[in-house]
Amino acid sequence: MKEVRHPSRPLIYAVSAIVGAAFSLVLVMLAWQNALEAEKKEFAFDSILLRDTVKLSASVAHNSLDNIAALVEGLDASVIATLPVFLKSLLARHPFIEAISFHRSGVPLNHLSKDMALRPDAVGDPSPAGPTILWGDSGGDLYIGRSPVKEALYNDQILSDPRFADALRAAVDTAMVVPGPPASATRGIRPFTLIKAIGTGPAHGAGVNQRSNTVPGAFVTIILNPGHLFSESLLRDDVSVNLYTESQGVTGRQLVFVQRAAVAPENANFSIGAFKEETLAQFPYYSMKLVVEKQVLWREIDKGLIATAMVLGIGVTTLIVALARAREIQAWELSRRNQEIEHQVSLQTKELAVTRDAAIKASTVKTEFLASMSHEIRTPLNAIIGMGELLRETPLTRMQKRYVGVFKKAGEALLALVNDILDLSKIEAEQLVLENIPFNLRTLIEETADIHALRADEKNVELLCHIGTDVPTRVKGDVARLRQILLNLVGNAIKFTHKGEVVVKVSSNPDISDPYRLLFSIEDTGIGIPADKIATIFDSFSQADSSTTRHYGGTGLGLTISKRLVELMGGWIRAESVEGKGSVLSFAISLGSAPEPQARIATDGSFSLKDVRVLIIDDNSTNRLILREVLSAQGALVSEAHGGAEGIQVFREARRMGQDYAVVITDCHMPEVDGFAVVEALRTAGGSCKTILMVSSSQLSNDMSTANALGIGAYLIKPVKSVDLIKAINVAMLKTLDETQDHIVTTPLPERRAENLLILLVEDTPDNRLLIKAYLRKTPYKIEEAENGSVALQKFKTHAYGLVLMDIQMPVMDGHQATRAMREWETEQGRDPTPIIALTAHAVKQEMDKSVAAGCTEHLIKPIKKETLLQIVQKYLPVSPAS
Amino acid sequence: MRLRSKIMAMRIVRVDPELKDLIPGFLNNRRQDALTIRAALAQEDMETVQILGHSIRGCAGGYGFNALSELGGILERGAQNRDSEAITNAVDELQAYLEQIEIIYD
Repeated sequence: MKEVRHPSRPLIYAVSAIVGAAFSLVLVMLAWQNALEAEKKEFAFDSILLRDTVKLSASVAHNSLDNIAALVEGLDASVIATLPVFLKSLLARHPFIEAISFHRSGVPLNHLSKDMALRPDAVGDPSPAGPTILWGDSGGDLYIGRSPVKEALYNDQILSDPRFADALRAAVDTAMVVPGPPASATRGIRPFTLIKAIGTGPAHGAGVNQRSNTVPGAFVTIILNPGHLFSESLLRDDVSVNLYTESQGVTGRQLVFVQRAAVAPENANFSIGAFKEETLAQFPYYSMKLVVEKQVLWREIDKGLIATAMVLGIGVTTLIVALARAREIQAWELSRRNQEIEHQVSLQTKELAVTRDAAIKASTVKTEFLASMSHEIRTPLNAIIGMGELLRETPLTRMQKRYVGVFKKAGEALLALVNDILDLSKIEAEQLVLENIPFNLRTLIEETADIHALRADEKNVELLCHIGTDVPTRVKGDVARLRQILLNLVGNAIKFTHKGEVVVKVSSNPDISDPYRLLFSIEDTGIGIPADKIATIFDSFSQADSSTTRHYGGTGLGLTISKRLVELMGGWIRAESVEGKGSVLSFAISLGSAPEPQARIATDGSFSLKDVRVLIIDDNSTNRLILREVLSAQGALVSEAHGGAEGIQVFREARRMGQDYAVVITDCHMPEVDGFAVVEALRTAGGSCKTILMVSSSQLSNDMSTANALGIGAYLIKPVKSVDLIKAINVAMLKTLDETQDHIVTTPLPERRAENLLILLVEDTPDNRLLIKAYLRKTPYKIEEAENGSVALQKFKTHAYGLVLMDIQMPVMDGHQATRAMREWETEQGRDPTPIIALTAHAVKQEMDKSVAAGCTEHLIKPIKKETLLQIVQKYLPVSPAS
Repeated sequence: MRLRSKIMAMRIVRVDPELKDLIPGFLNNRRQDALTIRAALAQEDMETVQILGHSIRGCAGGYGFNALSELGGILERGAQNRDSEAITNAVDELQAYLEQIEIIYD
């Protein structure tokens, strides 16, 4: 990966460098100061001795003069002659005293002793190494010193110096020690005199001739050699020394000694500074000032500390700079990383968006796939099945019929399987959305039972519905899916039951107070489920036995789908069974509440069941129970009898007791004594009781005709619906024999005289056609015939008919198809719908619904009574009564 | 013999006088049908039996011959279930019934 150059930011570095430099500078300066201080202290320390020595010496000289003067003042001439010894010792002791002289008279000093012979002292000087002392006296003046007079102060230069005379005069005036002007320098040394006047006071100063150099009076003088004020060892040659005498009045400041520091030329450039020490020796009239100066040379400085300081400073600077850089790099790294992270995040967001879109797309694809698959698969299957049906209606040989039967069955099985699989995929793919619409729960249960009623009856199995009275009628939920579940469970129950009963029970859960949490159970007395298989029956494609598919058919998905649906509805499903005895499949779900219209189980208002005595005769106890519940809820007084024989007995008993039953409801198919026998017996027993016969839908057409012949009040189609039960009782109690048919009115009646009296009769059986024509013989209607739906359709399109009588079960094109086609054509042509009356042998509600759905106006059940037919025709094609 | 009793219970048939003309032809057709069914049964031609059974069931009731209607149903179902015995039974009853019928026109 390419190394990315870190972009430097000069400012930071500059600042940190400056800070570091400042710091180092401070350090170095501190060290420098330190070093200098050290040097200074050393120098001071070194110079102390020198200075003190000078001071001391100056003091000594001064004091000596005072002492000598004091001494001489009182002495006369004879004593003075002894002075030399004392003076000699002074000289010997103090090297800086060059000479001591004494002048008695006011002889001008410049006249003094020019010719005084100075001779080496031979008297009393013990030390051979001592100075050569010369002395001379003349005329009361005395001189003792190391140098000859001429070399001493008494040279012309000095003596002619007016300052000298001034000094003398000052001495006389002040009676103090006064310094005279120094001689000319010899190697920086300028000897000078200290003068003290003796004896005479200012009075003697009178008459001083200001202009002359002669000053009367007596004087003692010391000639000082400043060069010897210092001990040699004390005077280092790297210092500059200046010695001054300062007297205000007379000589001012006079430099008496100078030494320049000896600085090697090569070091001259390394001079850093100078230390200066001053010492002042203060005397009454004058002072002596010593100035010691030292040049500080670079090489003398103790550079160790400075070096350390510099190193430290540099180190610190480096550190600071490094720190700054590190921080910089860190910040840059951070920002770079942030950038990277942001980049990553945006990348990932994009990826996620892509993925999400892909997922949505996949889901959409799935849905579309399912939908199109569903359609794609069902269409050809429906074609196969449909064609099979059509084919079967055509003239076929026995073998052909059999083959057609086989592939039609196969197609149906395949369709069932495909539907189940698609359903399951839908559920599994979570493509299923439950509806939430209000519906009538009772109607749903009863309809579901209806659908299986035929099959149940064919197998001689009772199919019963038992809906608890506290179960709400109107609920909200997914009615189609609930129907699916019920159909599956009831279908299974019937499939696996060969004798006994199948009861569909709905109750509200006693444990939970919610009235919309309902428990559905389908109990059967079938072959049961083996204990070891019961756990897996809800699994896909599992059936209790591998032979089950062969014997009983089915896809093995029904229960799986039911389970999924129940769970989707937030409920549970379970199975209990005893092999050989029966099974109970139960599930509980929560439905929503829907506004409950007035319970219309009550009668139409014209008839109440309160206190009506009712006898229920049935060999199935569950059915008796159900009926009892419904009727008791309406206030009827219900008795039961098991089977026909008992029923007749109970009836006769009651009659004998004078407590006739107003209504007797009896099952049709009972062992030994069946419903017909009961009715017959009741008729002969007399009384005005009305009988209601419960027939199974499969035998409706057969049983009904018998029932009619026997004068039965009304009939109920099993499974019995509570609504129908009440209605049937109503019918039996209030209506006459003739009006036992159900008429479903779907279109308003034309309130006018019919104009078109042409009737199209569509019926395949010739005998039936004859029959109907015979019925209508005496009427003004004209009849045209068609032997199947296809012919009928053609005729319908070419002529205008006032009414169509449409048989349903016909070859080529059945009644429903023909009706549909006719309605379509009417819509296309913009014509008013022609009344189409369906004639069917099946009185099943399903059938009736189909007729209505196809577009039939009314529905008549075969066999048709003449009066019924006439009434219907009159209804739609009113004419004046012909017969 | 429940069937017999039932059928015989309906021996007396009340027919609409309007249909009086049609009855002979009708009954004749049914006699024909019975023969056809027997023949078909002999050949195990269940399809024919079924069709005829269905047909009889359908139209007999309209004329008022409920017993015939019932027999037609039995024949149809028997043919569906390939139950020769039931068919034989029924067709016997059919023919017997046709002989014993008493028609009252009112």
